[in-house]
Amino acid sequence: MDEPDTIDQGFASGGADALRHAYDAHGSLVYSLCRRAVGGDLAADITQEVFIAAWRRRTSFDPDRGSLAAWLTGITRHKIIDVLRREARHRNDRIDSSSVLLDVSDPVDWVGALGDRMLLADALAALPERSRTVMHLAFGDGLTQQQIAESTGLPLGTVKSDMRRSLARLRRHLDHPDGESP
Amino acid sequence: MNDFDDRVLELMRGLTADDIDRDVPPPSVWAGIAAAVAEDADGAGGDAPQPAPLDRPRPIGVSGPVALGRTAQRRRQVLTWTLAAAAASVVVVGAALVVDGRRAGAPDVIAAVEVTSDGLGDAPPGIVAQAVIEDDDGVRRVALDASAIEVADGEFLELWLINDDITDMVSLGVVRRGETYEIPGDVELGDFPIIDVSIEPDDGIPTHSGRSVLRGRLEA
Repeated sequence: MDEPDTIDQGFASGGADALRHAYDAHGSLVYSLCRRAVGGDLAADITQEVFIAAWRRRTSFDPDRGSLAAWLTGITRHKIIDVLRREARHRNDRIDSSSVLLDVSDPVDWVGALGDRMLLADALAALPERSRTVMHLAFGDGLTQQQIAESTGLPLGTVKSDMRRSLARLRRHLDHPDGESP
Repeated sequence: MNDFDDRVLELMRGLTADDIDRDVPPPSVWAGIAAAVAEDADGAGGDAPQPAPLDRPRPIGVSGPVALGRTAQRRRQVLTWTLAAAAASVVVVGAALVVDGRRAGAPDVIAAVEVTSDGLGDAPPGIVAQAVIEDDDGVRRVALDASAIEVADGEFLELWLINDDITDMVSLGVVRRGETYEIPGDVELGDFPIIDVSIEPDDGIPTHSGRSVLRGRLEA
């Protein structure tokens, strides 16, 4: 099983520079998610709010249960949806497709799925090169493990263990139960 | 394939170049975070409410708690000025008493305002008191009996005049039994019609705590 990384553990224990390290590692993820959802002006404000709120409630982050990235993304989603609701209320309106930059039918679901995809992109980028290739062939191109082994020249056992290990890491990276409802 | 594999499959199929692109936040973002967190660390135990950049102002209106944060600095200046003015007026009043020891007529009542704890949330509802504004030979004072409000050790009551949109306020000082509170000479009551009593922690921070326990409005 994949171990929590040192940034995540540092954040949970609230050590010196832990917030700065967390921001360096995930600030652009949070900011990019906000930008895509609500545009640049609000993105900076929401990013600030997310890290301040996360630091204040850092004791509720448990690095054994999931990644800091997923936990922060959960907080970001809630903040984005708060902003969309607030804006909708100002217009005496419900949240609808005009609340976000893209024309989507359900902005709440859309923000959730966008956060998941961006988290996944980060998690894939953090995998070793070979594992990343295997994952892209398996999940992106839909090849079987046997086909991957043939096309890459890797032993079938290596393909299988790469996929198993990678999926465990992705699972840890994508989920943090408390992040879903901070 | 289990559920998680299915989820990864679905997400990976949906991945676009945009999902991988990352924007770097402007430097002001970290600066704001660091400032807010440093303020937390300075505060009492770190759990004092601190304004975040996007914090909605607390509900504005006579029955709501006072919005704090953005105007705190300004209020600090107002308070500093108020204290200076109060100190100056003590000197002036003292001098007047020496010059004219006969000055003893009863002050004129300018207005009486009912202040109540109803709707404020930081005191039990139903507490009502009278704030009486008097003109004592050109010096306006507020007389108020706030003894019905219970104050815990380490806290005190403070009297404020607040403008209608809760963006500016003037402290009239610490509420003590049997005292009256002078309104600085250049404060127009019409500009600060809300009379407010707050519970203040004894933390040396001169701004309004946001915990109002009595409030009323002076009608024109």
